[in-house]
This record gives sequence, C-alpha cells and structure tokens, in this order.
Amino acid sequence: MINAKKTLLHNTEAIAIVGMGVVALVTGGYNTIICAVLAGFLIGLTAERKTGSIARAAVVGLIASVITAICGYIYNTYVIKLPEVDNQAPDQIVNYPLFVAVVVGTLVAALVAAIQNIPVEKRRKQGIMIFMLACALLFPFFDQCPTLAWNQFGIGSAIDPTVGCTTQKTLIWVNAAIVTIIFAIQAMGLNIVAGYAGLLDLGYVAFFAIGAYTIGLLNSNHLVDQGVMSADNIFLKYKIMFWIAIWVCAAMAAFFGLMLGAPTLPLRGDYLAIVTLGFGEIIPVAAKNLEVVRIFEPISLFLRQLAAPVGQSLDRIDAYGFFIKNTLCIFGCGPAGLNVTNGTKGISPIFAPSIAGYTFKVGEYVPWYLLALLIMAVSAFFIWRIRDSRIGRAWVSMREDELAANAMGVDLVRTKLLAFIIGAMFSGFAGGFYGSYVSFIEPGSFAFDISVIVLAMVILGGSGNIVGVLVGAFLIKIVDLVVLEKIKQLLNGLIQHFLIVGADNPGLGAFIQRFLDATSFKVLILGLILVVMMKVRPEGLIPAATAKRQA
Amino acid sequence: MEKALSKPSDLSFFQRFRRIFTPIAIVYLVLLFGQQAGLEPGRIIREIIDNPVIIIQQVITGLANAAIITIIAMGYTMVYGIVENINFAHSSVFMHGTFVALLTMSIFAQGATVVPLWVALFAFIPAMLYCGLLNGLVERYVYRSLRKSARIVALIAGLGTDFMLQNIGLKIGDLGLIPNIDRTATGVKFLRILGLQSASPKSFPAVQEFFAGPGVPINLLELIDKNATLRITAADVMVIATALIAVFTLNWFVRNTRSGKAMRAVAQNPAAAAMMGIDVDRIINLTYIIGGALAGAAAVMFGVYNGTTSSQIGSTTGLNSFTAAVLGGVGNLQGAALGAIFIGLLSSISDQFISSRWTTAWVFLTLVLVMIFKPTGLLGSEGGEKA
Repeated sequence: MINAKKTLLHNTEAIAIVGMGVVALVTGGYNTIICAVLAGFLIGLTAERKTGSIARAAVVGLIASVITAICGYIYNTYVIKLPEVDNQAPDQIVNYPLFVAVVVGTLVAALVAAIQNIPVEKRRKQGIMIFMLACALLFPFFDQCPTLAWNQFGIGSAIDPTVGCTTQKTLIWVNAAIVTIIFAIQAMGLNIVAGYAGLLDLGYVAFFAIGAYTIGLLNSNHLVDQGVMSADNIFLKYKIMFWIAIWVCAAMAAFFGLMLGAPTLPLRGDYLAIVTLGFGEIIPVAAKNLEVVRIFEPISLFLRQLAAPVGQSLDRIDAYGFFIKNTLCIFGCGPAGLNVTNGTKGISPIFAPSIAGYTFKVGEYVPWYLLALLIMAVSAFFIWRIRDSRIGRAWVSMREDELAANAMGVDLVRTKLLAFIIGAMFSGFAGGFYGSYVSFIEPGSFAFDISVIVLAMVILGGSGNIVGVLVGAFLIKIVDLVVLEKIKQLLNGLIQHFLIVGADNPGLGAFIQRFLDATSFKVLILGLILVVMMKVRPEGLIPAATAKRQA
Repeated sequence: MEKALSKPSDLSFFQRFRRIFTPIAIVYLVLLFGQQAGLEPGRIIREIIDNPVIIIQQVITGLANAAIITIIAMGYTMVYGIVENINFAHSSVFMHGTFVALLTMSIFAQGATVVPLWVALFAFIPAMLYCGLLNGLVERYVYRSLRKSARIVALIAGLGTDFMLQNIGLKIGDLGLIPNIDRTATGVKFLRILGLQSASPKSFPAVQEFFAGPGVPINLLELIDKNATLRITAADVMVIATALIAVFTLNWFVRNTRSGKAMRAVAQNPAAAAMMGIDVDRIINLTYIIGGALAGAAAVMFGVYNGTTSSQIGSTTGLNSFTAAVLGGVGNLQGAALGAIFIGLLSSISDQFISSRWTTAWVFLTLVLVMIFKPTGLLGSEGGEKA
C-alpha cells in the first residue's frame, strides 16, 4: 500500500489500453471513437500535477488511441466477415471513424491531463465535472448510428434513417447507457448502505422491485381495470402521474426499508446480510403470488372454515349457516379477489412520462437518456451533500469504529436505520424509473443477481466514493450489456468459421457454441470481481478519501 | 429488567391493558395478513380432523427433510463457531455435491431408472471427498488471507465464491456424458445424463425399495386400515439413518479426538490455542473440510430423497439450513439438529396445509422472528453473542 499511487498510474493506463482495445476489437465501427475517448479520459485522469505530464498523457493517449484504432480496423476488416456477427449497415464499415478516434482520443487525454494540472483543487474537480457532463450530453450523437439520434430532434431529417441503421441495432450504447444509469442510481444508494454505513444489504433488488411495482400500479391501466382507481383522475388524465408516482415509489421503498430494518438492524452485521438476502427472495415470491388478494376477518373465517370445509356434506353447512353468512370480507371481495401484481404475466404497459405536451416513447432513446442523466445528476448531488452532512459523518465514523462513534454520541441504531432507509429510497426511485422505461414488469426481472451486480459495482469502483461507484457501475454494465454479447457473437463466428467438426457433427458444434456462450459466464465474472477485489484491493479501484488517508 | 420485577398489582390500567392487548393484536394481524399466504387455521384444523394420516405422512417427510437440513446446517454452524464467518459458498459446495452424486449413481445405473441401495451408499464416498476438498480449497485460497480483515470483506468474498461455483455448476449441467459400456454391441456409447439444457433439473435414478419388489413402499397402516396409505420408502430410512450416524459421529469426533479438542480450543481462543502448539490454520482448514464433506453427504441424501437437482437448488436449501443453524444457536451442533427438525417440519407442513408457494416466506419469517426475539437461538449461550 505504500507505493499504491505509483502502481495505480501504470495499472490504470494498462487497463485502459487493454480494456478499450478489447472493446474496440469486438464492437468496431463508430464504437471505436467511444472506446478511444474513454481510454483517453482514463489516461488523462491519472496524470500527475507536474511539468511534462500533459505531454506524457498525450503520448500515452496517442498510443492507446492507435491501439484502439488498430483493433477497430481488425474488426472492420476481418471480424465483420465472420458468420453470426451482426451484419452492420454498409456505412459503418468505413475506416474514417478510426482516424477520428486517434485524433479525439489523444486530444481528450491531453485535455483531461491539462484539467488535472489546474492548481486549485476545487477548480480541477469542476473542470472534470464539466468535461464529463459535456461528454455525457454529446455521447448519443456519436453512437453507432448517429443519424438516428439527430433525427429524433428533427435535425438531419434529409438523411433517411433506415439507410444507415437496421432497426434492432440502433443506438446500442445509448440503450446500454440508460440501463447503466438506472443501475448507477441503485449503486449510489447501496453505496450509502454498504459504503458509508458498512452494512451488507444482499436484498437490495427487493426495493427496486417495490419501486417498479409501485409505478406499475399507479401509472398504468392495471388498477383502473380492477375498478380501484378511476381512469379520469387528474394525474392520469393530464399524464402527470409519473412525476408524482416516482416519489411514491421512493416513499414505498423507504417504508419497506423501515419495516425490515427496524427489527433487524440492532443485530450484528452478518445476520443483516442473511435477513436482507431472504427479503430479496421473498419479494419476487410475493409478486408472483399476489394475483388473487382477498382478506377476510380472521375470527369469522376461522369459524366458517372449521365448520364447513370445501367438499363436505351439506348438512354441516346448514348447521353452521350462521357463520357462513357472517364471514366478514374486508378486502378484495369480488368473485376473483383483487389482482394486485398480475402474477407471472406482469404489468404492462406502464405509461411513459410526459412533459410539456411531449410524451416519451419506447425506442426513442435520446429523451430517456437525458431524463436519466438528469435524475442521476440530482441523485449524485443529493448523496454528495448527505455525505458531508452531520448524518453522513456519523455513518462514516460508525463504519470505522462503532464503539468510538457510540461514545461520541452517535445513536447507532437510528443512524444505521437512516442509512438503510435512504439507500432503499434510491433503489425504489431507480425502480420507478426502470418500470417506466421498460414499460413492462414481471417477477422474473427482479432476481437475486441484480443485488449482486449492484454490490459488485460498489465494490469494484470503490465503496464510499460516488465517483468510484459510478465508474464501477459503468464498467460492469457495459461489459454485461455490450461486450459479452459481442464476444458471444465473435466466438460463435470463429467456431463456425474454423471448426470443421461442426460441419459433420452439428450437435457437437451447437454444444461447443452453447458451452462457450460468453453471456452465460456473467455470474462467474461477477463472482470473480468480488473475490479478486476483496483479496487485492478491498477499498476499490477509486478509493474514498478516508481510505486513501489510511493507506 | 425493572418492568419484569414489578408485580402486576403495581401496573396501571393502561400498562395491564397493553400487556394483554399487544400479543392479541399481533396474533390478529398475523392471521389477517397470513391468510393471503395460506395461514387459515380453521381450514388446517378441518383438514387434519378429516384426514389425520396426512399429518403422520407430513411428519415423516418433514423428518427426512430435517435430516438433510441438519447435515448442511452443521457445516454452517461448525465454521461459524470456529471463525465467526458465514460461509456463503457452502450452499454451492452442496450443489456441486449433488452433481457428483448424480454422476456416480448414473455411472453405476448405466441408464437404468432404479439402482440398488449400495450404489447410493457408495456415492457418499466421491461426493464427500469432492465437497470436502472443494470447501478446503475455498478456505485456503479465499478466506484464509481475509481472516484478519473486516467481517464484511470475508462475507463479500464468500458471496463471490458462491456465484463462481454456481456458474461452474451451471456449466457442469452442460457436460455429463458418461460412457455406456454396451456389452452386446461393439464399442462404447455415451449416455446423456444431465439433460439437454444446462439450467434444467436433472433426474436421479431411484433407490430400490427394501421389500416387496422395486418401487413399492412399505405400508404400515395397511395392517390397521386398508384405505389409509402411509409411505415409508427406502430413501426415507436411508436419509434419516445417515443423518443420525453423521450427528453422532461428529459429536464423538469433536468431543473425543485430538483434532476435535483442538477445534474447540481454537473456537474458544485462537491466540491461546496457537500458544499451546495448535496449528490454527490447519485446524480451521480441517473444519472447512469436514463441513464440506458434510455438505457432500447431504447432497447424496438430497439427490436420493428428492430425485432431482439443478444449479439453482443451493440458495433455497442454503437459506433453510442457515435458518436452522440460527434457530438452534449458531456454533452449537445439537442446536443445528433441533433447528433443522423445526424447519423441516415447518416446511413439510406448510407444503401440505398452508401453501407450498409461500413456504420460503414462512421459513424466512421464522428466521426474522428468531433474530428479533432470541438472537442467541434455542440452545445458544449468551457468551456466543458478539455484537
């Protein structure tokens, strides 16, 4: 740990070059530009504040960009010709993005290094922030299919969007970015629980599901069809339900966090892990089974059922007829009860948000992306301010030393509970946005591995550090959504191209393809990240300031 | 404390009212919302009165389940007792064990659907060896270097290991071609035993019954009442007998052998044990290996009893077993058995009378209630509780 800083520099640069090279190798085309920018950004970030560091960053950035461009060229020339690899539109098999990538990558590395060289720390941070914001805002317009993004704003409509891009593969990066942002909000929330307060929450997906179901119930026709909610209430009528419901989602998640946390948080930490794990497993079970909800008054129900079970002779029913008539139904008294979650069929469609007469549409990614970006920025700001407040300092002091914190007057249970509730709130918030974005929710989309993905984001990036968590979220989700899928196609193509055995034995060929399916190793990769990070760098790639001081 | 000492006559009307009313309110609320999850006491009592044999059948099923849960829970509780670490990878080690058992039994079965009992008994050897080794390796290469760091670090590393093992298990599901030595034809054919889909459930060959030919259960109640059927299968007997043997052997081992005594010494005070010349690393590794071997034994029992496995079974079984360990008092072997009997009976009775879809939820509720009201467990001592 003594020379951690020095090794980190070279590590980060090497990781940036190798990682982005691999991504460019499997995605190619316009994606090379994005890869080069990312590599340049990472290299620029590691620049030290001394003379010559800008030049060094520029040189390293140039090397990285050239490597990335070469990888992109290999993709454009060879990989694209393999069978099973997406046949991209003709305009994407051009090599000019590669030159753009070299130039832009080098410039970005130099620019970020220059920002890093600003002497005042506050200005430096502001500079990085502004640069990242500019990149984030410009990013959809440099995606795989730029013309389509422009068209969504009515610019460049002279270009026929169907020429440039096939329908399915459009804007894969923007779509991935929206999902990434949803997970990043969750990761920031879990960071409060696990990073700041040091509580291991393994059922974080439960709050996500609660948020998604809340918006599913409020902002769809599901409850209207059940006759619970009127279709012409002002929220639905004027399409402003999303803006109200998203807060209700957060509140519901916080409420469930309170109900789960209040009894279990006084316990020791590892018990909390198991309780939350169990809770995460129960919520999908509940979502699956709350299809027919009907509640009777228990005492009258008890007497009735004791007296007249189903399938028994009628004379017994007559004798106890009094009880049957007097079974009080409290809730869901219709013939089919109240259908709350619609079981495995799920709730669909959930209405999209609408603002100033413009309604968001499925498949139009850029407005969603901008909204998600706004929500993430607000969340990050909020969490950053909480972190420096009295309660934030209490969390950190509690994580470092419970006994000392208690002696200084920190109420442990209350502080833990607040961390747990606020963490749950962000998960519910993200869940609400997710429900609106995908417009369809079902119990299967809230499995345990979401909890672990979010945990891995926090651990990988650096628990207790917002920037680290965001970087972790970004890395894991891009690998999950884009890279693994592309590697799968690449491997399939290679197997079909080179493996003659597949030709005369199609069963074996199919078996090898399925066995080497890169997407099926997702869980293994997540597990490996957790174990390796815990053993090598438990403080994460970008450690929090307190962890740095300790090192 | 003060409250408990005060006599009832000292209480004000409201205090007395609250004391009586609060439990009633809680029970009422549980019944009010529990009916959605199948908790309808009237119906349950009615069903038991109408067909009392079912409850005997469910008790037998529950005890067989409890036998499996006991063996897994002992693995959790031993490891927790000695290093205070919840071994998250334990459930995946168990899942791997079911695959080893399935492979072994299938090799002997050669495609037959029923195997003699000795095949199932033989399967214990490879399964226990494999799982013991696997758990030992996990301890050596994942947990050992993290023993000094914060508890959450070891937990997360264990969780990561669990995920890696789960994915490997999923991939094992894709393999599973065993040679079928065909004596009439020439050459060796391959038999596919793990199904076509890696994630789909895989079937075990059934164990031959003791009496009355293959597949016919013992019917004790036939002697009394021709219409009542009570199934006690060879699997029931084997599972319960194995669990009893395992519990007593382990108890004997921990109490009487040199290594067992060393284990207890390390559990009490590792530093002092090291000063007495005990190799702490070796003892901890041994604990993990024994825990893993137990998971392997449980895996064979699970396969023989339930007749199916998949890469997903680890989590539910793991949660049940962990609940049993906590219920009995973590670190206490007898407690684990007691907790397992409770959980086994609860889940079999819930499957039959309450609602099989909500069984996981009822087990989970038990876990939460135990943690709130008696975090030390039924047999746990106050000293074991370290906040």
